[in-house]
Parts: sequence; structure tokens; C-alpha cells
Amino acid sequence: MIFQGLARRKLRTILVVTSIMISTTLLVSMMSISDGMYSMYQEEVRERKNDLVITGPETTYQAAISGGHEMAENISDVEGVHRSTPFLMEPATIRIPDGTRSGSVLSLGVIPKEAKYFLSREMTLTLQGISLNFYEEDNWFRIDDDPRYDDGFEGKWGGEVMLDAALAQKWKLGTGDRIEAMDERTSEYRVFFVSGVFGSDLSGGGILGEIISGLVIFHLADLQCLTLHDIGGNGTVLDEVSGVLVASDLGSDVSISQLARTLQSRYPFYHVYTKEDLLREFKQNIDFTRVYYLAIGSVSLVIGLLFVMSVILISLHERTRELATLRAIGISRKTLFTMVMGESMIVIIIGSLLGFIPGYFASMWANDYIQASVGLQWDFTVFSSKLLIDTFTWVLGAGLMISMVPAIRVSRINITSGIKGGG
Amino acid sequence: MDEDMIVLKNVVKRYKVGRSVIRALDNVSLNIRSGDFVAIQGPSGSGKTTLLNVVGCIDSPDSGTVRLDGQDVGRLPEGKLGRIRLERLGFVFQQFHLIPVLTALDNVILPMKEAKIPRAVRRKRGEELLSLVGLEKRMDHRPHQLSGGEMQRVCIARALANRPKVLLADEPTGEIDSKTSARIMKLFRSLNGKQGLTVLLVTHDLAVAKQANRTITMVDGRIR
Repeated sequence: MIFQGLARRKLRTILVVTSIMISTTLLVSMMSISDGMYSMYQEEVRERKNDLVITGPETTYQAAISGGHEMAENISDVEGVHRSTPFLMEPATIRIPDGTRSGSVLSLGVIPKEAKYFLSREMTLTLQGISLNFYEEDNWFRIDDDPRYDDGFEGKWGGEVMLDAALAQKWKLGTGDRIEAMDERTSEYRVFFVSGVFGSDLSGGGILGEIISGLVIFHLADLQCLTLHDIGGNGTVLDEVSGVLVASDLGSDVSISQLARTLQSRYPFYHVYTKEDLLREFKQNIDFTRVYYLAIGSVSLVIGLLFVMSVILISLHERTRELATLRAIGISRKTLFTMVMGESMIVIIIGSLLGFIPGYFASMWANDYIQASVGLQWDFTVFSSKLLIDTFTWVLGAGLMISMVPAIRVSRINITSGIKGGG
Repeated sequence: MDEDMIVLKNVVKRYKVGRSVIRALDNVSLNIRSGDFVAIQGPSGSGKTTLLNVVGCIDSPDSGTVRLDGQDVGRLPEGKLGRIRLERLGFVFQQFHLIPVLTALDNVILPMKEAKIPRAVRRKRGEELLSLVGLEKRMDHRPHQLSGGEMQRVCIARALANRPKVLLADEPTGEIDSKTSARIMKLFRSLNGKQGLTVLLVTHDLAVAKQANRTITMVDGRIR
């Protein structure tokens, strides 16, 4: 009877299914963004070779750790630490020697031989949330250590940089070319040799493309000198870095957490993060955004379901006499309740299942749009079986609640007035 | 055959219309024996349909006693009343009230499905009932493909689905022509005579009422 009813009122059924389909499409795309943001970061953090990262007291992006080189060396001696390396992330101003192109770039300072260890199997270096993919193994710095750091930042300059592919392409640069980077102390430009080009997730467009021209990797001490993080005004060595990456040779998460506590007690003014800590903090930071996206999706679902409910209520009003007759001939309230629930749940299930198809394309489109807007080639959306199950459960749950209203009304129909057509 | 199937004692049913209260049934007492064929007559608003509804467990009395097949049904909860309607009563309506999306056979099968009769049994009985009312060739037709008389016969077949003891008919010939009306009444007489079914029929039509064994006339909620 449920199927016959739906088949007979074809247009109405199609409209109701369509409304649920549209709602599901929106919900799927919104949930895919919401889930995608977290899973993207989760994946990136899990892929990191470093088990711990030590950062300054304020944010992970400030060069707030003093004595970075020494600190990393000391940490390397701690039991359970396999390797440790400092890094600095700072904006720097660079230009082509002929002066035709210049701009602010996001710069990363590393000690090459240490940083190379932190490359994952996929040839990806992930630092501070940005993935750097290296296309070729020999595409790396020619000098492995950090000579400028020697003798209180009086050593020889590393003098070489690596450019990200987007920047290299934009500025028509390649291995062997030269660029100039501004020394903030003198405002003069210093020449650097391009030792290689690497791929990164920066596309060179979007919001990031407007803020930074690209990404450049320096020897750590070179970048410290260029950005005034080497020596203070009174001549004391600052050796400021953004953080220290620590790789542990301890297997379990419990042991790594213990190591984190040991390092935290040794460096109480800094933050020692495990991967789990980073994920937890990121989750807290994006929870509002996730709620926002989920709210948009849920509102569209609620609107769709309210439409379904009103259509069902109208339909039931028109069928008052039929339903009252059913009650009169002995059809139970339970049967009528089940019948109405069945009718609405069938259209909701069909609509939600159909909604997954445009939902998939909508989430792909959203991913492309966000990538282009932000300027990062990250997967901002996910379309997983978990997402589908979550969405389906959510739609089904909300659908059940909404369907209860007409189903309860029908089960309580007044037979005598209903037969007269009064409801 | 001589025990009372339906007993009403001092039954009162009031309706509120605006600020005034209408006594649709005013101290009605009535005995209908098993196998009887009773027609209820009277002008509009005299309480005929209300009486039928009270007997049919669709409506409950405000006071008084209603006994059906020896059971006091006046104060039973809705769930039990529904079961009585399903198993012991058959309803025939003036406007047929068939389910438009179902075929004639499915309409007849519907009450049997609710009574949890096995699929094969209910299908066979549905076909038998439609044959009984002369619609063996119209089983797969939907209500809109049937004439008024045919729809009423489907309605009768549906009413007989769960082998009821009482058949309640509210103006069963009100929407059909006189020739078809005669055929329907013949069917009622046959069901009453051959199957011993108790029939309680509400009608305006004097000719229809005359075909019953006994006629009750109602005026202003009372039996005259």
C-alpha cells in the first residue's frame, strides 16, 4: 500500500525526493569540507617523521626559542631521542638580480643534513603544516651543515636556497640561477645560488598567493642572519628559531608522551607537542568552523525535511476519509503509524541515497574552489564511506523525527468526523 | 439464532455544536437478535448514523450500555474496539470508501492482512468473496475503473473478509441507481438468509427498508 500510494502520487513523490536529494547534496558537501579539514591535517601530522615539536610560548609561527642550535644538540642527547633539529619560519624579501621581480616569500631555515632525515618515504617534508614534495633525491642543498652558525654567526654563508616549483615557474628560475635576499640589518641584498627546485602544496594563487610570492628554503643560520634572529643588539648570540623537531626511537605513544613530559620539564617556558597534542589543538581551533559547516548542511536538511513533512501532512489531509475508513474497518493505529512512517522514510531514503551522487560532485567542486581560493593544493574535502554513513544516519535520524509528526496525527485520527471528510 | 447479538440500554450520545449540546441518541434501548435483518429509518439528523457508529464501536456512548455478542463494548479501550471492528463487524459505507491505490482484490484482502491471515489463505478468500459478489472478472481493477454498484460490491466483499458476525451498512444504496440498488439488497438478503449474518442497515429509502425483517424508525435521537 505504501508503494502504491507513492507511485500514484508521482509528481508529489518526485518533488519530495528531489527536496531530500538537494538537502543531502548540501549536507554531504558541507560535511565533506568539515571532515576534510580535520582529516587533511590529521594525515599531514601522522606522516611527519618528528614525534615531537617544541615551539615558543606564544604561537608556533614566532621565532621565540633562543639558542635553537644548542637546544637541538642537547635534546639529541636525551634518552629516547633519535634526532632533533631546529627550524625557522619567517618571511623574507627576495628579488631577481636584474630587479625585474621581487616579493615577500615564506622562508624556511633548516640544517640540510638533519632536515633531510625528516623527509618521509613519500619525499615530503612537512613543517608547520606545509608539505614540501621533493621531485628528485639529488635536488637538495650542496652543503649539508649550517656553516654560518659557526663562530657566533661569523662563519661562511651557506649561500644557497631551494625554491618551490610555483615560484620558480612564476619567476622563470631553475637550478643554477641566482636570487638575492634582503638582509634586514643593512637592507642590502645578498646573492644566493639556487641549488634546487621542489614541489610544494602552494599553488602560487589564491589568498596565499597574494600574501606570499612563494616558499624558499635557506640554511637556518643564513635565514637567521637575514631576519635578525642571529645576534641581538648588544652582541649576544640569540640563535632564535621557530621550533625544534624531535624524532624519537621509542615505539609506543605512552613512551613518547613520557619523553614529551621530560622535555617539557626541562624547557618549562616552551611548548612540547606530541602529534596527538597537535591534532587536539587543531581540532579545538577548527571546531567552530566544523560546527558552522555542519550547521549550514543541517539547516538545508531541516528545510528539506520540513517540506517533506508539510507535503505529507497535506497529502494525509486529503486522504482523511481513506485513513478514517481504514481505522473504521479495524486497521490499527500501529499499522497506520507504520504506514505513514514507511511512506515518508522511503522517500527520505531514496532522496538521501540519490543525493550522494551530486553530493560527491559538489564536494569535488568545493575542494577545487577552496584550493583555488586559498592557494594550497590540499584535499580540503573528503568523500569517505564514513562520511556517507554519517550523513545517511543523520538524514535518517532527522527524517524519523520529522515523520513522527504526521504519523502520530494519522494514528490519532477521529474516525467519525474523518469518514465525513472532516479529519 | 435467537440470542441477542446487539443490546443497547439507555444509550445517550451528545454532541457539542458551538455552545449548544445536541442529544444524538436520547435514552436509546434496542435488542437485535443474531441473524436479524434490521433497517433503521428516519429523517436527517435523527441519530441513525450515530446509532450505527455506537453499535459499530466507532463511537462510544456518553452513558448507557452497549453489548455486542454478549460483550460490553461501551467502555473498552480503542485498541480492543479496533480488534472487534476488525474481527466481528463488517462495514459498508454510502460512499464506498475504497482505497483508491489498491485493486479490488487488495481492498478485500486488506482487513485479512491486518488480522494476520496467511498470504495464500487471504488471497484465496479474497477471490472467493469477489466471486460471491459477482466481481470475479474485476479483481485487478482499481476503484476508479469500477462503477458505483461494483464499488459497493467490493465494499461488501471487504466487509465480509474476516467473517464478521454483524454487517453494518450506512445508506449502502444512497449513491447508486435503483436497478443496482435492488441487486445490492438482494446480496444483503442472501448474506442474511444463507450465512445467518446479522445485518443492521441505515437508509432513507422506504423501499430498501421494507426488505428488512424489521424496521426501526428514529426521530430526534429516539426510537419511535
